[in-house]
Amino acid sequence: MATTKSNNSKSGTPQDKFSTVLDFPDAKAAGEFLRTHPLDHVTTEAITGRKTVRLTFYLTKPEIEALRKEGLTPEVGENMSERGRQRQGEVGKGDRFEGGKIAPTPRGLKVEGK
Amino acid sequence: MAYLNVTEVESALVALAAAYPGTCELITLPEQSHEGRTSHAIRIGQGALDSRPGIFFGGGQHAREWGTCEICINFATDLLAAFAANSGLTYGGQSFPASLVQRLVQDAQIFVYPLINPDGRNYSQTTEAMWRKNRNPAGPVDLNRNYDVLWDFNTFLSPAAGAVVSDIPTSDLYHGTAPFSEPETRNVRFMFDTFPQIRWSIDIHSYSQLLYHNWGHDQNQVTTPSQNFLNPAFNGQRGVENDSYGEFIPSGDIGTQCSLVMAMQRAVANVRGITYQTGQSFELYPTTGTLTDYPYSRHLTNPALTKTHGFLIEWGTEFQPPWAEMENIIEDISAGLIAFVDEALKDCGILDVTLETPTLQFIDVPESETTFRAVTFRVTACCDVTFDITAGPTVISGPAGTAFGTTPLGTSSTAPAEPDAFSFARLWVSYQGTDAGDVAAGTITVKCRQTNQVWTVPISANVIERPVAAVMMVLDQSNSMSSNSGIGPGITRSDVLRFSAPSVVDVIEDGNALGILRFDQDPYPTMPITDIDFASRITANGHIAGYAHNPDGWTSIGEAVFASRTALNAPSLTQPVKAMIVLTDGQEQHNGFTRRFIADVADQIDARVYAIGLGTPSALNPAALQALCNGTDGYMMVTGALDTEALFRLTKYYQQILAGVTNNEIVVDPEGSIAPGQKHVIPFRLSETDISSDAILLTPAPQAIRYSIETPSGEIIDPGVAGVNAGITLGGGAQTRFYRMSLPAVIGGDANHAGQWKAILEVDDKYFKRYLSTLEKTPDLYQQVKAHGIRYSVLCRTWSNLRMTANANQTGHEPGAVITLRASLTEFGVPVEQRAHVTAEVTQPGGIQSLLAFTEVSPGTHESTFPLGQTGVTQFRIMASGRTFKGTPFTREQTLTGAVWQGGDRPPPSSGQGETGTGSSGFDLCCWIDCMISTDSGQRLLKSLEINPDDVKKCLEKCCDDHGRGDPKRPKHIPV
Repeated sequence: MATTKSNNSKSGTPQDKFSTVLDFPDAKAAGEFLRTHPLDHVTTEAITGRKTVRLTFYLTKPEIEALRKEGLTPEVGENMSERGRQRQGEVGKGDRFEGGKIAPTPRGLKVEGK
Repeated sequence: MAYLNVTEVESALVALAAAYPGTCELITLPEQSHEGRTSHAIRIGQGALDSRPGIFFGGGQHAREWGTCEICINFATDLLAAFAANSGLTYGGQSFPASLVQRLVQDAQIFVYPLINPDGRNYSQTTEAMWRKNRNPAGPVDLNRNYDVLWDFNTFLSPAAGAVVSDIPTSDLYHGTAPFSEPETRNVRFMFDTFPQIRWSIDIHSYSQLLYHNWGHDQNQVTTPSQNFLNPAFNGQRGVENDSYGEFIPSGDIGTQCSLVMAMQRAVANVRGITYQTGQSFELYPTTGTLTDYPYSRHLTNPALTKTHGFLIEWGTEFQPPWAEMENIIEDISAGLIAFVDEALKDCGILDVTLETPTLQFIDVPESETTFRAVTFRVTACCDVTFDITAGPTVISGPAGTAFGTTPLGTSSTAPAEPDAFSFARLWVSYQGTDAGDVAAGTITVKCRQTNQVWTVPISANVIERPVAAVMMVLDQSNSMSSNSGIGPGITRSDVLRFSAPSVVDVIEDGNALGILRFDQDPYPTMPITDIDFASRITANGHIAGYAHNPDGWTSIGEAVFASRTALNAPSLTQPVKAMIVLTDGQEQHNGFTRRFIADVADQIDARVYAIGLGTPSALNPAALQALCNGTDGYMMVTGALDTEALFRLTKYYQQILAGVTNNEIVVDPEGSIAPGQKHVIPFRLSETDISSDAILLTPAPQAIRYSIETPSGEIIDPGVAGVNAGITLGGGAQTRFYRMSLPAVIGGDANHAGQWKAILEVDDKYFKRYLSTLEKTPDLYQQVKAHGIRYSVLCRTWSNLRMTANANQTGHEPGAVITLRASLTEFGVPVEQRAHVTAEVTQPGGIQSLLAFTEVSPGTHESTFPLGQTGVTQFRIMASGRTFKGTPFTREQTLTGAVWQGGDRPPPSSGQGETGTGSSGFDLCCWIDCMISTDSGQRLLKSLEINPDDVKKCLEKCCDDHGRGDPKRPKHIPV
């Protein structure tokens, strides 16, 4: 559930989104932040053993800077847009099912011992 | 292999429908996306679309969550292929047998809609990988905030809620310009509107490894239904954790939803050991306008719609995992989805739904009475099955004022799950009788939420006059009625009869019919059964005043009830209720006359028989008479030993029986004594179910008591008010005063109906002294009245839609027998279930009093038992109290008696028992032996046989009752 963080490149385009973590002392504070900051919120995580609530966002650099100007201390992680661009290379090309002529292959079929 | 592009998602669906035509149907969604793409879904299920329960899997709302489409396509492919191959399915450590696959495809209809947001996915896969929303050129929208459930979050949620939603168009969480502003969400709505079979819905997302269920905007609670998203009183309060507001959800629904997410959790974990977290969607963060809550909200917004449980999957740990990992996740979630369908079908397997009432008939509804009838369904199912009234009840024909209505029992009804037998769902319809002779017709439409079946049920009704009764008062005039009553010197049992019987004549309503039959060993029709009016009341009371015992009269109750039965069955009598009230003070004894016993005629008595036994049970030996009463839905009451109270008790018994005969309910029946200077206020409650009411004062001196009624609004009804209000009459006789009121009673512009009424009694000093002077010949009574005042009973009765019937059954008539008392309460013909409390005030022989609690043994029926240990009469004043459908308090009362005596279980006499001494020969063996041993010749005979006369006497004591022998005050061989 926790956001993956890495030390990968934090460069990219100004529109690139970075995994950004903010901790709040309690749920009320986290809620107040969410209400006043319509950002790309990804996960909410209650930190075990503490009341702290951790919110993960995907934010652009300008958005991160704006938070810092508010006095917040966002923990900036991986460039998720960059990671996404890498994943785009794993998207199929063309039409492997030929417009419906070829059916998808089953994955979990139990051939023996039915 | 790699992630599917947008074209491939649609091609895969087309290919599956083509490859598995018997089990997969392609559904083309009606609206194109903003970029002109056409979306598809498929229906998996053997054969054509029908009423089998439906499950919806939707995905791809958020563009960047690519793997959802792959999960959906793989699930569909595996299920269809395995069904076709009659194969099982295996995902890592989780296997599903072929039989399960077969059952899922045969018993369910699975709707798979893998790509709700094709434009967004295409943009994410080709341009901006982290894109979330759709591609609305006027401002992209987060589709999963665009559904109509709580869409206007600023109104519904608390400002303090940390809701993940926004009304700012540039936000990634923008909810759009209006609910369903987007074609993509309208396509989803189309699915639910078009396929009401859908009872479960899973919205598939990533990421966080979660399996969630409703609700998403606040914490669930199961105790306060008023706290719900439709209640505007709570606007601005929702969305905050651990505050006073929680969203209501029935505990049963939580149970269903939890069992389903748990089934998924187990299956997912079995694949490769990853345990997804489960909970309610709110635990993720507060949300509004989502596809998790939209399906479940539909049946609450519109009760005619199917209840669809909503679920949320957040698979994986990132939006776009490497494909190798995505393949693992596909297996995880495919296993979870298979397990979900399996569990859902366990939750609902509807085996049979049968309409038990193809027509709804209101037959012979009395004028003004309201009656309920139920459209009834018999259901055999593994789940609760709910039916809703979707149209009507509507009047098709009938006179002005005709109305068929729904009832406080609601417009929905659920048959509880009963897989091995059946259960019922009942939708109640009300109808109030208009005028006698009216007929009406109507219709009502009912829909089953689960099967989507619809029934249109015709309604018919007819109205009759209020049922009236033909009543025969059957009066014992045998010689024993001349015996002293025990009330005072010179007051005989005949006097008691002459005192109490007129109250029946005075109170019985016009429209009923009354006759009088006296009997000894023969019946004597005294007054034919005559419609009651002013003149016939005078005639009847004249006959009672002229009543006298027959010094030569014996007792043949069999002849009396048979003659009464013959009179009541006269073709000229059309009253639907026919009853006789038998008053007797003795057991059947004919002396030398050949007459029929009760046992001889019992099977021919078809009228309702009530009986009052005047005296002790051992003297009355009333087993046969009691059996006769019980067999005709009447009952018997025994006064017990005659004393100063007997006169009063008899009058009350008569009134209670009359109430039962004329279809009235007794609200309260308290009694007391009132002295000069006192004011007694007796409260009684009437409810909206009551149609009319009589407040009857029973007292030996009605002229000495000023009697009035206070209404719930404080108006006073006295003789002056009764004289000028059409709906209120004052009536009475020598021992009665009563106000008869139609409800509501309109006085001074106030309509008085439900609420607390009061009977107010005050003594008139002048008439009190006059009454006291009439008692000087009966010193005991004189002293009693002088010391305590005038005896009275206020009997409030009502013609009502809320009725109580009570009866008693004894295991025998010997001491030690057990009596079972049963009281049944109905309102508009429907059992008063879990809304009433019944107790009985028990008065045992000797006056010991106790309270007896009843238990509700079946809906509306309360029961209790009591051991009859002491010889004599035990009186049970059964008192019910509760609340009507509308919550108005009500009370009902009825008195019953139980009686036991030595020899009570001997077979009752009949014509075939002549040798017993009580047969038709009139020969009384006990009496004869008793006589013989007292003569010289008898003594000699016994001596010659070496029999001790004292032993014979002991045997007589043991084996014979006191008739003709045991009562030293009574001469032997007199007729009784």
